[in-house]
Amino acid sequence: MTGVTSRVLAASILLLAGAAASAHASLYDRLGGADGVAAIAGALIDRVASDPVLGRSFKDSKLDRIKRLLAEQICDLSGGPCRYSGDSMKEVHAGHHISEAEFYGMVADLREVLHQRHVSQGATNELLRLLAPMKRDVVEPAQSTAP
Amino acid sequence: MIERHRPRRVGIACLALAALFAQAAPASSVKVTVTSASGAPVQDTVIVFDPLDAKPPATNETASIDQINKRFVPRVSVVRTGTQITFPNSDRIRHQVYSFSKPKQFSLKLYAGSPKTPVIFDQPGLVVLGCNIHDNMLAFVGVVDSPYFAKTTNDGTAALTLPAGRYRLRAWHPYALVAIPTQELKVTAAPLDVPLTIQVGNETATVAEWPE
Repeated sequence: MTGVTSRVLAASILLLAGAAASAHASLYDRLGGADGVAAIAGALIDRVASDPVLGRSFKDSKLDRIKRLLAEQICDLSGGPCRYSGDSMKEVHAGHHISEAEFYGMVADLREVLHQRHVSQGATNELLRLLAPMKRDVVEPAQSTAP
Repeated sequence: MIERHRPRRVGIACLALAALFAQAAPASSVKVTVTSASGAPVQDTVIVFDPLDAKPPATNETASIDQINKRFVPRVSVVRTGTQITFPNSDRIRHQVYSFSKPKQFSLKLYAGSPKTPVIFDQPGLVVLGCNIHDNMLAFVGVVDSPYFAKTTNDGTAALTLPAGRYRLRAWHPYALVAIPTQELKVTAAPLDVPLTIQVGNETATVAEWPE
């Protein structure tokens, strides 16, 4: 076996091993682990809180606390070593009257944040699938009377 | 028989009334007026008269601090030691009231329209309240052993009715820049006016030390 052949073979084996590892890596790892998840949560909250429309329900709120709890929640959901310690999504959003448009606005912001952090399309879709069922607890039906 | 008993009953009633009056010292009205150096009235100054003679018996007191538009209402409270304070939530969103202060440490999750059991403030001192969820939510509870206390209103005055006797007067404002000296004074049957001048900083100032 020539030196070149053995090196190509070794590289191929490494590549295969890498592909297998990424297929089995948890979503948490593919989001970048603790640092990646913290960065995603931080960037998302900064984005929505400064948005002229979405920012409304974050007014006067302690953003560091929301970032910390959101990171914990994503870590928990994506198979990381965390247990979400915050209130239920229903309790958290109660009284804010989040509209469906606002919910999807935040989803769009999350997509943008994940894209900017070079998270794969597969991992993005997987995360959004985990978050989607929260819509029924976050969105409050529009009030018939003006606020 | 009936005719002879009646005067005696009246006599006993008179004696009981006289005993009641003898126990209660004559009450006198005291007005404390708090102004800044420039003469502006200072609201939310806590005024406490600690009796130096007889200590009045404990009573079961209640108070309430509401959450309205992400603010504590009232911002400044003064209560007697042992008072049960309830924390209603008039907002539609949730709050998490907490205190790290030594006299009372607690944390209370408040959801819209779900009342909680009251918190008993059983140690004297200053309790500073915050909300875990919202910035800028700040309230103060002065807990005092005396039943004689008040808070100045927007004209800078606090009116109290005190039994005659000797007292120690304490005053505190959350943003007082210089501690307000305590003083001893004697309350007699005559009405008493106590003027106090204090220097108050803005709301970013450090919270003033509580006069023990």
